[in-house]
Amino acid sequence: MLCERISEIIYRYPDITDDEMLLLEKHIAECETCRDALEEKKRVLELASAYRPEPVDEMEWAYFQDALNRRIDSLTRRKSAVLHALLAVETGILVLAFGVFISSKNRTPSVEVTSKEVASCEEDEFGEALIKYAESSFPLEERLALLDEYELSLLAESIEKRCGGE
Amino acid sequence: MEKGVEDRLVELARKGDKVAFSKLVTTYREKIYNFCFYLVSDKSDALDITQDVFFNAYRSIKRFKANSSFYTWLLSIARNRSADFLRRRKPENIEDIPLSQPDNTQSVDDNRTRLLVRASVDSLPAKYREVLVMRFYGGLKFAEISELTGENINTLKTRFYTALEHLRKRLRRYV
Ligand SMILES: [Zn+2]
Repeated sequence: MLCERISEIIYRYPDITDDEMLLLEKHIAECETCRDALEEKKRVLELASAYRPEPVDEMEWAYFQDALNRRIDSLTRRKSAVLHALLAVETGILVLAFGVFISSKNRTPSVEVTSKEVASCEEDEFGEALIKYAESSFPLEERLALLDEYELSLLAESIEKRCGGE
Repeated sequence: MEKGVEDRLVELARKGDKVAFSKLVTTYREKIYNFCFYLVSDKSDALDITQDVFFNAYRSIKRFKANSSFYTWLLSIARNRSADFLRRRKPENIEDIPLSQPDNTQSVDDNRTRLLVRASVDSLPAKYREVLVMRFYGGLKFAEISELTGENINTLKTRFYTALEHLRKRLRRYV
């Protein structure tokens, strides 16, 4: 009976309460079976905790940091390209920036505007152009993630200013 | 890192301060790497995922709620990234990993330990491995794991004890 209760405590060991610990200690002093079970559990936990991740040295962390910085810098550049295009919307001229060529991750990304389209601000056309814009160059999800709250509000504002209330 | 200092760095990073962000990276990269390593059991994969974690953290830092812990937030990104990675990775047959037979010596060398435990941890279903890693290797409280995973504390406890029992059954021959 007691052994059953103790084996349930060993099952949860070391996540046990102080009272359970006392009960356990008292019991294993007189029961060999439960004492062996606890010993086995302790040795398994010890073996499992000896498993450590392979270490990363300073040089490897330096490479890691460089690669991360490159990704962040290229993100910032792309972000400013998007903002630039949004500001063009603000002037009433919609610049459709096609061909944002982000080649391999090792190359500096360059932004080329290969096609310009002047759109009047009728709602449908604007919406269409916006969708086109959103679909070009980067995947939509990534493109939206590029915009921070300020940029999104800028976009919303310009849509409202140009097309709202008509 | 002191909470006040960290809050300030997070605040600066939210405004796009790259130096502040890289201080946060230096503070947490090893912890995040360790966490990913236990989940994917490979150094180079764990480093790649760690880089993704920080890249995504930088990208979405405005979505981080200042009242929660930055480390826990990073862990939640790491958890999602690792899960994506594991879904994509072809399941490897862990029975193929060579396990040397137990010998008479009491001490277990590092490499053998790694293989033995790795095989045992790897053989756990993802949900069990995750709670084992967070609790046993990461030292997180069940309440924190619950916050991260959205799972009920009792469910997590049951999974954790089951995972430990699985390790015991697999490793008992070697201890
Ligand atoms: Zn007993």
